[in-house]
Amino acid sequence: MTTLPTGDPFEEHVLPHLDSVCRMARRLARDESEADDLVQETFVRAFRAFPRFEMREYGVRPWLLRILHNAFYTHRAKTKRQPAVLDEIDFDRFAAEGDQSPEGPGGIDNIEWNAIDEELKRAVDSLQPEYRVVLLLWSFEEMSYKEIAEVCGCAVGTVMSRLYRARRLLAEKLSDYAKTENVPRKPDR
Amino acid sequence: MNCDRYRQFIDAFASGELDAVNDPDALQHLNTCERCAAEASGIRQLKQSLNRVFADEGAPVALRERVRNAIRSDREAAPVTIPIQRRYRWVVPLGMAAAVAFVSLIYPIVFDQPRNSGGGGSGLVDARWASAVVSRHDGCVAMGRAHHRATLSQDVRQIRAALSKELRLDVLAPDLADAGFRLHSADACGIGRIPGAHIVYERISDGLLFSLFSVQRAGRLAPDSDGGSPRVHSISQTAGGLGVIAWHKAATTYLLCGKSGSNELETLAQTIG
Repeated sequence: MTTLPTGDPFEEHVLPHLDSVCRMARRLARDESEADDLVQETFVRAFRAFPRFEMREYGVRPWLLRILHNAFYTHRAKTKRQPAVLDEIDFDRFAAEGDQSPEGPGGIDNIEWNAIDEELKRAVDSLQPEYRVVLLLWSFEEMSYKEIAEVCGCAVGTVMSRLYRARRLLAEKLSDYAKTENVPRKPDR
Repeated sequence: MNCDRYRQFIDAFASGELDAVNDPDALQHLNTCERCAAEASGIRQLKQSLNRVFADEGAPVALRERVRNAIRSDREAAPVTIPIQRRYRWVVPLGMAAAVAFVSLIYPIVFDQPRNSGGGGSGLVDARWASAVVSRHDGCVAMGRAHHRATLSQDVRQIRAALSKELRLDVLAPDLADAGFRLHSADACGIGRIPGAHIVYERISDGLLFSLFSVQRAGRLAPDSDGGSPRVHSISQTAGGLGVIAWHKAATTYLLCGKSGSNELETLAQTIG
């Protein structure tokens, strides 16, 4: 196993976040080879920038994930796979969207989540990257809205609307799946 | 029922961030409404499920080893070992070979006269560093407009202010409209491990791109030059007709990179000054 010098601050503070970066890269790229390239590029960029480490307020992990986020979009731009323009929503439309909610009875609120793990993965992967990244930072990185906004370089309000939309899109996909596959539901509360 | 009115707060409520929204009425409703509580519970379960299904996606041993090797190589290597894109990997060795050839063969013939317009000595930018500058120029220009950081303005004065503050450098980002150039893109891109700002200008007449870097002062980038006057201090050429002019001013080193020949680069350097 290659090791970096003992007591190296980069080794001590940055490399422990390799799992987080790898997990996010794989979900963003959806291709193992591209994800591994992204992880390597993220850490090399971080290594070069470490002497002038920014985002100290938020810590190393959001900083690393921001580098990953930027590297991902740089790769996309180079390969001409531009992300589609998002249909951002404002909060005034939340109520209107709520009327068509797939949640509630027959939706996914009472679904047996353990029964749909693979479908949940597929549903997440099918989201546009802008929604996917916000959803994943919120869920398995357990980040606050403010931290997510820093990573994505957008406003907190944008994070909230993207998260809402991502959750709504997931609910639509999973609700359809649950109906067709007769996924078990929890008893009514 | 006020559920629709407070729907926008359910995600924040379920994530424990409702205080940030600072809406006590919403908090009271969400704490007491069964329908909203059910939805918030669904959100929390979704979060737990996402955590569970992706929990096993840590970095495999081979990737850990690869990352450590890449960092070790970067630590030990020359200034530029950039894993930019496979199709541009030829730029670094080709640029370095061309720079070496230029130093030994072409430079004594073409640049046998001092290039300075005054004061300081004339020094060739070290071939390795010239290659690093050209490589950075090529890599960033290849990104097209995507090189421009989305959070930066399109106004060069604001870009200068933002990057100067961020990098704690006296970033140079002049308005070159009168000289026939417009802003193409900008970001914080250093040379090798030297932090810096990178402004790309586009010549309006033919779309030719020039790079202007402002980096922390590094003697090796313009070895024999000093003084504040914006004159041509050092020039080096690489394959493809790209040249580099470097000069120092106080704590900053400036580098101009672009197509050389017919004195275009030097004229632009004088204009910037």
